[in-house]
Amino acid sequence: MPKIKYRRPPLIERAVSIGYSIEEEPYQLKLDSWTAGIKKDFSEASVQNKWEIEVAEKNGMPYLPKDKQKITTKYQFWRSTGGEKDHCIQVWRDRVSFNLLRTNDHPRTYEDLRVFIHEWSAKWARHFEISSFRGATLEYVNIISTQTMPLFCKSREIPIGDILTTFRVPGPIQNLAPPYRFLFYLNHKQGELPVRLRVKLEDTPGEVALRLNFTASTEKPERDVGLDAMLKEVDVMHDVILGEFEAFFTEKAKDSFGPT
Amino acid sequence: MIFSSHSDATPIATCARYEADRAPIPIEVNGSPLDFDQPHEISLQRRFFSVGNQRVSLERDLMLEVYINAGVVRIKDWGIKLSLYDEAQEIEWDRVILRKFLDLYGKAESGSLDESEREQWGSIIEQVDYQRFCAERAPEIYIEGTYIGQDAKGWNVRLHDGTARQIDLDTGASLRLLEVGERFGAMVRLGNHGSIISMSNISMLADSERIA
Repeated sequence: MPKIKYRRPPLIERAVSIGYSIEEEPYQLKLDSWTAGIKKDFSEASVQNKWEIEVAEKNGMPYLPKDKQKITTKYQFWRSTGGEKDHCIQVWRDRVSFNLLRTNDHPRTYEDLRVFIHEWSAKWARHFEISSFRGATLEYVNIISTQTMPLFCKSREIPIGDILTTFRVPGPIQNLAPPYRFLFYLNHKQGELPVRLRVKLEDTPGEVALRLNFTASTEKPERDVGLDAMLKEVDVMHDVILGEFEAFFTEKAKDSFGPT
Repeated sequence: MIFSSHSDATPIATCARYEADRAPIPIEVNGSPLDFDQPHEISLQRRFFSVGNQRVSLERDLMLEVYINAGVVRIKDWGIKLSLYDEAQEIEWDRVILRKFLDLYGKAESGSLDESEREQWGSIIEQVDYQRFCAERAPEIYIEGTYIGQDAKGWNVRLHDGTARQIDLDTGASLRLLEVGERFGAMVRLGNHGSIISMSNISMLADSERIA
């Protein structure tokens, strides 16, 4: 079956992330030279620390278990096109992601993402001397709003039923109020490669917009996959997400995306 | 539709735009009778810090003390205090730790530690693999200079004899520790025409204006 492409899908970001293991010292040493070396291609760098403080309960009393408190540091490297940030590499101690964002002048395609990840995942793996991976995760972020779907979202309301084939409200009250959060997990077992798929619809705080994420993953802690094989898995996951994209959006919505 | 109660590990969301644009997520402590005036220890799960070829290894994980109500994080026994809701969200741990270490190291070498710094230095030395640190600081040629700034070609410095030099990006990577205008000392190897081909053991001189 030929793949349908759209000129104006509500897809604003594509990301591939890959999981790996590395000891602290070689990671920190290589990260430093990576940061210096990547600067000519990705001129803007930042650090983000994520604090996760967990409160547990014992005999009815809350406490902070020491082994559950966590800080993770993420390094972001951005490249801009025409003044807009559109390529991003994010590095964690156990993960790297390659993010491609749509801009006003560049709608972007999967082929663009493919070129990006094939070039930079190879450079990254060579630099960090990592050849074994746990698998990959592919994520597509769609935004349903007046900007991305102006034919449908004309006021401060989003007619979800006209746009999506699922997440329908069964009762007589049809007006959903935020926060919205709908989640599906699907296991795709066709063929040799098991792919787990997560579909999530949620509101974006402060905006009249819904965010629909398709996330496919082949990652498992015990997996040991080479880079080339893993990039082929990304192609498979792209096809899986395309199939779900076709199924989740109504025909009317897809017609508005400009099929080619 | 087939419903399966079994679900494998959740894939991790990696959306860059939304994480990048979002304000830091505040730590919510609503409704808990926990005493958040007291410090809560969190391990950074890090014991190796590097910027360029400046490295410090610790014997144990670096510990943080979080004062949630006060909105403050202290790096335990290092005398470093950060605001929890802004500085600590974007802090570059390696740079902060090495700046502090090199600052105290420089002062300890010159015998200019004050009383509180002497106390900090004592507790820091207990955590640091000092033998390794010393072994990695093999002597070469000592220079002093002032950090002028960085451009696409390299790091610009003015040496103690007034000559301007440019050091390539890799060789001079540890100059990233400095603020423009700060003075430093470093061990270097010189190549043809007096170019600096290796640089190590950078120190912040005691009369620098800005020290973390």
